[in-house]
Amino acid sequence: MNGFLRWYRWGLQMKYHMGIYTVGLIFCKGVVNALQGEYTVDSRTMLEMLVASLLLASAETALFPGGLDRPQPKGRTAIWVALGNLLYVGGSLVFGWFQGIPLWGALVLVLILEAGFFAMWFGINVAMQADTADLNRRLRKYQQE
Amino acid sequence: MKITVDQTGGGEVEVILRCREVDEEVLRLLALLRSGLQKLCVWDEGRQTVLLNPAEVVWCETVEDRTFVYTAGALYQTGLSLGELESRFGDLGFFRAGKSAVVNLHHIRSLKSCGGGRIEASLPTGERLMVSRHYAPLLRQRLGQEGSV
Repeated sequence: MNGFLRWYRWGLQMKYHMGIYTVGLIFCKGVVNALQGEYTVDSRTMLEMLVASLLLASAETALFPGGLDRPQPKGRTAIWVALGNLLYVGGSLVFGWFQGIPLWGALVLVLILEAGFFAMWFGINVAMQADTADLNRRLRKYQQE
Repeated sequence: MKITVDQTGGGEVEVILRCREVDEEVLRLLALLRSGLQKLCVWDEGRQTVLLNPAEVVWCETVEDRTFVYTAGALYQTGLSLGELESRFGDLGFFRAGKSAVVNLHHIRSLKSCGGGRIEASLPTGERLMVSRHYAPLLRQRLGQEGSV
């Protein structure tokens, strides 16, 4: 029973991140398509994006067993960023997710991807750490009352 | 607060609370006294019924309409819903952490601020419980963080 419950909770965590990444990718694809005068995203592309996000979210649970939302060893963070780039940039090249965009458009998309990784790193290492310290101080106070 | 134990011999144990007004401290004392009388009826995997002290409960969760109760070293089931657990033992630190989980705040080892406005609670059972975005502001409020809700 315990094993099943652990697996169930792991699934909940993993699919949450997978969902966020997939929605981000489909949003970018939707914007690119709309700029090209096409207002649909085909389901095969969405499925490919879902699989790429599933792989990244699953790799995260192996790289960061304690969760992504905490300060991580630099080496593992670098592997995670490299894997994210490999899956998303590689996926775009292999499956032609953003076909037809000019070089500067591709560079903008890569910049958005890198900015997303940087924003996650900054949020985890600065803002969340301060909030975590405050939460734990208040928790200790509550437990002592 | 003055505590006096008056040993009179036989008869039933009687507790009298003398106070100027029924403030938060008195209410907490009352809850504590009542909780000492209240037991949580649970059963283990062998269907053996156990009367558990609510303070021993680390956290509870529902999976497929069944409510599981975790203590530091054992896993039980109870017939009570999470809502009932929260309302009965809220004064003892039981807090609704999500649609399917209630945690005893006194057993949380540490909290961690997470993405999406969620909070992760580390428990002595080794579990990491995610307080959802909906319930995290309520937890912050319960812990006295201003402007949380």
